[in-house]
Amino acid sequence: MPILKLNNVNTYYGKSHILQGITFNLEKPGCLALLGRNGAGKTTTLRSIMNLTKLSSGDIIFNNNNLNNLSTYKIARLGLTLVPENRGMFSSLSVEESLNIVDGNIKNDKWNKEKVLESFPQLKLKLKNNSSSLSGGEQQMLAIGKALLTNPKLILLDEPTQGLAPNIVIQLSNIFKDIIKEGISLLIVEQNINMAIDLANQVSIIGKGETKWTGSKESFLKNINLHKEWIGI
Amino acid sequence: MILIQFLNALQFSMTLFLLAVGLTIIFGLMKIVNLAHGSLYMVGAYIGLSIFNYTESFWLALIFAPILTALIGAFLYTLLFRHIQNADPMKQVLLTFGLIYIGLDSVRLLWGTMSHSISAPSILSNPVLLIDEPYPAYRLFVITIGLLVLFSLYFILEKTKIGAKVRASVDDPETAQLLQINTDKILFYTFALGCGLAGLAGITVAPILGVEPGMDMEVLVLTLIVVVVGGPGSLKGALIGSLLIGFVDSFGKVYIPQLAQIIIYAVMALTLLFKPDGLYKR
Repeated sequence: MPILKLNNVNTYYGKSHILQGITFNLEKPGCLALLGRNGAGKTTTLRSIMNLTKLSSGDIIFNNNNLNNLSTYKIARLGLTLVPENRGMFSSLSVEESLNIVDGNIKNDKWNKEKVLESFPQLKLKLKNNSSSLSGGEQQMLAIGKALLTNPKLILLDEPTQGLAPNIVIQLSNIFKDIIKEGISLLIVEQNINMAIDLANQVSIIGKGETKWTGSKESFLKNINLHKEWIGI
Repeated sequence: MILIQFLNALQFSMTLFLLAVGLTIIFGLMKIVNLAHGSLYMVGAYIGLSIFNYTESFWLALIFAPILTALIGAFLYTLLFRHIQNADPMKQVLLTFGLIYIGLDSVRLLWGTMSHSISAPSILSNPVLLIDEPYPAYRLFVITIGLLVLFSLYFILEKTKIGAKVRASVDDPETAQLLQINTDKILFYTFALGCGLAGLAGITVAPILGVEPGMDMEVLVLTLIVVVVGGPGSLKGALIGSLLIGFVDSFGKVYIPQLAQIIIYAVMALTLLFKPDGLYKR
């Protein structure tokens, strides 16, 4: 039974048909890299999974739950969350408040504020700071920390390393590896393909709103044409 | 004399604050300008009037008028506002504008077109001496209520977890939902609270200004100016805007009565010239 299953997902923004048939499964625990050129529909796919963008047809199934027409917060309570591209900082909340509002929503949870701060010691020093005053890397850590506090089984990451310095990218990459080791799956959309492939055990490629290819990392690496046709510039 | 003017201006500012804070929170959360906010203020005053006439107790009116106004707000939210949240602005304006007329006609139908008065409770009906000037105790009471609401709201919003959730929902509703927060529920309660505060403003000024049809439009325009000047969606803005407009209006009427009609509009124009997003941009 796949963790996440998308079956012929279609969505529209107004009259423009953005997703025209997205079909892929996250078959086993680990990381799936969702690749494709700009405007291919990767962000819309992630938003559709969380029902931030309404589906017009198709099915999305997570852990045996059909997500169609479920409110976003209910989807999140099933153990599925998204770290958005803009990192979703709450501009009037401090770092500590941003963590507090998520911490303790679910009982007997594995991830709590203390554990998140252990994983991101930089945040410990800035608990009282306004969350939008953090550097890009710190904001991304806070965003991931908040996501972990929902005690997810799967985290969707939209361009997590965008605009970050190379040393921060390495640090984040190591954090993602630790998260996968903890048994949490990731679905990552990245321009930094090398990093995404390094984390992934599965790959799916979107082009012009459609799923073009899905398979294991090994078969992706053997298939050089895929890269040329759907990802390279 | 100046102290009296100061207190009058402060009392007026506090009434504006009770109205503006509800309007601005609802705008911040829903991106809807509720033009019927003044109607809820009027309805709050009329409900208070009926409770007062029936029970002869101002205190019961003071407690139950805001609660009943909040319930009307909750009803309106469930029936109407929830469905126009993502509609285009013209639809929102037409709907809330239509509610103004429904509110006005309902009030005329139920209470008639005459103006009514409510007397302040006896304990507050005598003036108190401030230095050597007599000043109505009731106005001091209204100032106190405004300050109590201000500090309670500040405490709830800034110091509690539920307040942080409300602010998070205003800042970025999508991310709040991604973090398991039920923003619809927060909206529902906040909308009702905002309406309740409009009702509270209505019943508290009733002994000063009376209760009559048309009282809704007067405050609606002023409240909109307060929200625009302060910065829509901002609580601090609602407070600063209320004080600015309340003081300029009160002092303007006394010291430059020739300009009384236009002075707050001039203040609004100047503010928007230099700060197009209002004094406190969210």
